[in-house]
Amino acid sequence: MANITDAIVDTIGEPILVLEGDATVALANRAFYEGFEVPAQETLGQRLFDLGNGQWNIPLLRRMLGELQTGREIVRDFRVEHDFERIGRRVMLLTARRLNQEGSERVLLVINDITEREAREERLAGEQELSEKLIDSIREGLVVLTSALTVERVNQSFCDMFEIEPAEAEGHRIYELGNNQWDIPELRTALEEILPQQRAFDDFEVRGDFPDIGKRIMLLNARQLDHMPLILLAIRDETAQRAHSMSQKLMLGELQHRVKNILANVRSVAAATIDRSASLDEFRSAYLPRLQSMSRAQDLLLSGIEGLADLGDIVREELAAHGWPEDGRVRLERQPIGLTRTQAQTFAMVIHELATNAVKHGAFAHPGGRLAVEWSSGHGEIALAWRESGLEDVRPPRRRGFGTEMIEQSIEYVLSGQCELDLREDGLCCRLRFPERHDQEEERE
Amino acid sequence: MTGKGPLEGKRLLVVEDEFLIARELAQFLEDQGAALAAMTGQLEAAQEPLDGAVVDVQLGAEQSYPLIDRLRARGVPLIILTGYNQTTLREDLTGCPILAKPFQEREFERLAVQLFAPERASEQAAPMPQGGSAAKGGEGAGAGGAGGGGLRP
Repeated sequence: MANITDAIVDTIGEPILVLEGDATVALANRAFYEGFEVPAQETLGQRLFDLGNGQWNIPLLRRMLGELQTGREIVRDFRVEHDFERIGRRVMLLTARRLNQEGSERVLLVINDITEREAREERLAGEQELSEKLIDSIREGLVVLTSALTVERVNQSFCDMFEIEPAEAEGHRIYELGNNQWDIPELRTALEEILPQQRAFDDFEVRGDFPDIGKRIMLLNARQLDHMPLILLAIRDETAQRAHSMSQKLMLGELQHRVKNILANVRSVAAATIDRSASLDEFRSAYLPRLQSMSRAQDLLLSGIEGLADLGDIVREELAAHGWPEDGRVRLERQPIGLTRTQAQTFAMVIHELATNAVKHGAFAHPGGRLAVEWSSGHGEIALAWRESGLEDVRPPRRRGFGTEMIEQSIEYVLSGQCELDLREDGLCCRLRFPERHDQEEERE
Repeated sequence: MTGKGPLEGKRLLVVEDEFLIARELAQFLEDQGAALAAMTGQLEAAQEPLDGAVVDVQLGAEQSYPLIDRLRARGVPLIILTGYNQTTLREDLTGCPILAKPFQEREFERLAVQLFAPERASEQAAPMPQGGSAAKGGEGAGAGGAGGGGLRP
């Protein structure tokens, strides 16, 4: 009988001790000797607490055995952590049972070494935490699907992206989310045909039209897991990116259109100036300042606020370019008025022609000449009066030049405004008026 | 100009929002003898009969496709003016005669005569080459047109 007991005890994988009432070791099994690296002769007949330089002298263990002496039959799964000299730190679950053999107070102590198990569990918990946090920290929408395509988990990005709560998604088939919004044929193809065959796909484009958030272009990456019946589906919302590159393209087209228009204007001014130039010198002195004026208008538009050029800046710069900074002979209005691109370009050319005329024939061609320019805006209209004075006996020019044509016609033609040229005896008076903003005008700035 | 030209008697429409370009196109057509039905930067089409039209695709922020379609439906020969690549033009128009901005006078003249006065296109074809030989272009007045560009001294 004893042999059978010994045999059983010896084959059991867990260390087992039988202790006398005074904690002397009566019996130990092979698992004990091997697990704690102690030989039998240093164990049997010794008090447990003296074993191996007292390394079993563990207060918790003493307490546990003490409990048995107070009459308890068994103490189960008593968790003890201890540093052993030879084998290092161990975590054990101890179960002690009174054997109640006649006349003795023997105790059976079963030691369950759970050091490895706990370490493994901790590692697993760590890995779990890593994957949870990984899923949540990713900016892409992430969906964990079961092999039946039921949503197991979604991350915050997914919820933000599609304005959905985790509870509305988890536990439902992916196609059913948000009233079957996700029942998209391409998505079915990707998940049901491509994924089972290839176990993974990247950058699969799917377009969806979602009632709440509108049309979306999504790029999907998916992985079928090997060790679990799960699918990872990562979703990148490409909509904004695509719209951005689309608008880049449009802007580029717009820019090209503008450049071509400016070149065409430069060409037209050249052609008109050639028509009215008797010599190369005459051409040069009329054409180059016109080009300069166009260029100044572009500068003002570029530096202006919200793409608008200030009307006063245009007048001042044109006069300065003609050698007439604001001084005693020139009086200018101060009120700022923003002109759109089209307005500024046309207006600048008109002012340029007026200033050129003043230098050649008008206020700036005679010592007593004066110029006052006033402007205002209101009732949806911008009005300007250019008044030259201090001249004597002003006569109409012999021929009408390109400048006069520009002044008289372009405001009406381009800006739906009006222009009156009035040649008074003491100088030219020009009145312009045009709507503040063209309705559908202004190119997307 | 009272002289005749290859476009004499033709009533033409110029639709271009840039004043300078419009007036140059108009002037050029008039120099070729055409009568201008209208020169405008707006989308309203002239109701009167036309022998042809030059239409810019982009009028400010608007595109002139509705006008182009109406004119085409009326059978008015069109030259489309554009600052864009042909590739960004509406697809069904890529077959239309297109004048790219900034335009070449010679190219404009060739297209204008070919489309707006096809019956005179063949006589025009011969004297096309440069200046000196322009006198051959026919009865005196032709010199203005064939000289090719309003570039008078």
